Amino acid sequence: METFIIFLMALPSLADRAGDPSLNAFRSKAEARNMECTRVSQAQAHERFPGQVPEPSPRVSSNLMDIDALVCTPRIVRVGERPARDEAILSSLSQSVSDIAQVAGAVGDPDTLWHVDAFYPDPRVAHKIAVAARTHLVETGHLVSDRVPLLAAGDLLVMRDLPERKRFELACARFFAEHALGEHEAFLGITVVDPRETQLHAGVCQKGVWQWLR
Amino acid sequence: MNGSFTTAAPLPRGIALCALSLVVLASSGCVTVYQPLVALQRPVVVDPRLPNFEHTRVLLRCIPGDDFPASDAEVLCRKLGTLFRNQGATVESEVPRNGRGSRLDDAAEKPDLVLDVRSRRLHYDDHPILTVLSALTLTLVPTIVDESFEQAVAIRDAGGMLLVNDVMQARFVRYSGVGVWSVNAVLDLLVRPDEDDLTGDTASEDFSRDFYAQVSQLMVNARIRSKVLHGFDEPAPDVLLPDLQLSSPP
Repeated sequence: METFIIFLMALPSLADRAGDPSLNAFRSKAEARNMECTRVSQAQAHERFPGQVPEPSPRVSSNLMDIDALVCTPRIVRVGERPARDEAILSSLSQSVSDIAQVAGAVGDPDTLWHVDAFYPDPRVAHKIAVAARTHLVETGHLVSDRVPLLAAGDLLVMRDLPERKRFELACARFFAEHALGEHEAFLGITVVDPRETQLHAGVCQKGVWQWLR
Repeated sequence: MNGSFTTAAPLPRGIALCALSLVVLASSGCVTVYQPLVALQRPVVVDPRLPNFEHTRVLLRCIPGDDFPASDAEVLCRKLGTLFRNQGATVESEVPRNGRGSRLDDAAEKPDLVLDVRSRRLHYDDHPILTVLSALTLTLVPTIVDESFEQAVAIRDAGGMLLVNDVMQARFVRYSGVGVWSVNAVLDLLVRPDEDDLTGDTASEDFSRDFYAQVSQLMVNARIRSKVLHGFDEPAPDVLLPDLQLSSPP
């Protein structure tokens, strides 16, 4: 009888576990990896999911009872659907371009007209990066052009034989010399420089001078 | 009455001993489920079997804390040291303790990269009612311990500039009991593919694979960021660059 009573008392714990969105004896590890989960306090969880998480009791101090919630959401793009580097870069794109735009914005004047382009092996990903950076610059109050400065074919041929660090410097100098960029214009270039990395680098070209930002 | 009492006494004692043995046996039958929460499941590009850190001096600092004893920190630093040595780095490691100076201050040759690792427990839940029930049912009902940990990684260059800062979170749910172990052992044997096995040391192995891969990736990112920020001053024979397209098509 006592066992039965204790079993009944344990039911809420077992019921909680059955509702666990991330762990399941019959769910594969790959499925569990396609959930993005984070631990938040009960108060935060109540704010986000008021129907599912009760408000924390004001009588219970969080120091006395360590109550928190595990919030899980399924990934929009499942692991393995995109190449690993594309996935790593695109899944953190918002944060990356936000950081880049913040640093770039501090380099230019308020009336600087920004031209933005991204250099990435997959043109579709490059386009996404460039659009995200333009959008972020516009959202933070900068003047942004849709135009991308172009170089002559001869310049491109010369640059093809140069090491990477020289390419951007030369391209920047040529942009200014060819009047593709004016006095009050700046070019923000976003790129990856090594196939083993999962981060974006950025530099700014202003008045013919190239400067790496990150 | 007395006779029945004396003859009955050894039986419960025997049962109790058997039960105790069973509980001890069953408590060793654990099934630990590992779940990557934050960043650990992020895709990794770097291959840790390749010499990614040749000509790179690395200082590892595993910083103990309330939930991260110095002994664990030393083990972690030793394993991370092996990881980076296997990738060609020259590695020094230390576990900073109160009152001891850092090797960074007195090293004759400054390291190229300094990696700080911290760990702390975010959450612990052990369901005491289930523990009682588990004992009463001779562990047919499992005890459950749910823990989440956070590993914070910061990588700086010799000058102290922060190159990479990241936080990883992992969750481990440990089920102990003869029932849950038996069921999972049978499922592992007959139903689950090998990569989905839960019994044995798979949780630890899965976590280690994720963690060391992520740390290797962060280190590669930090090294390349350092090169870029220093104007590619270092010789970079192994840097492979994608062809520039000076205007990306829409």
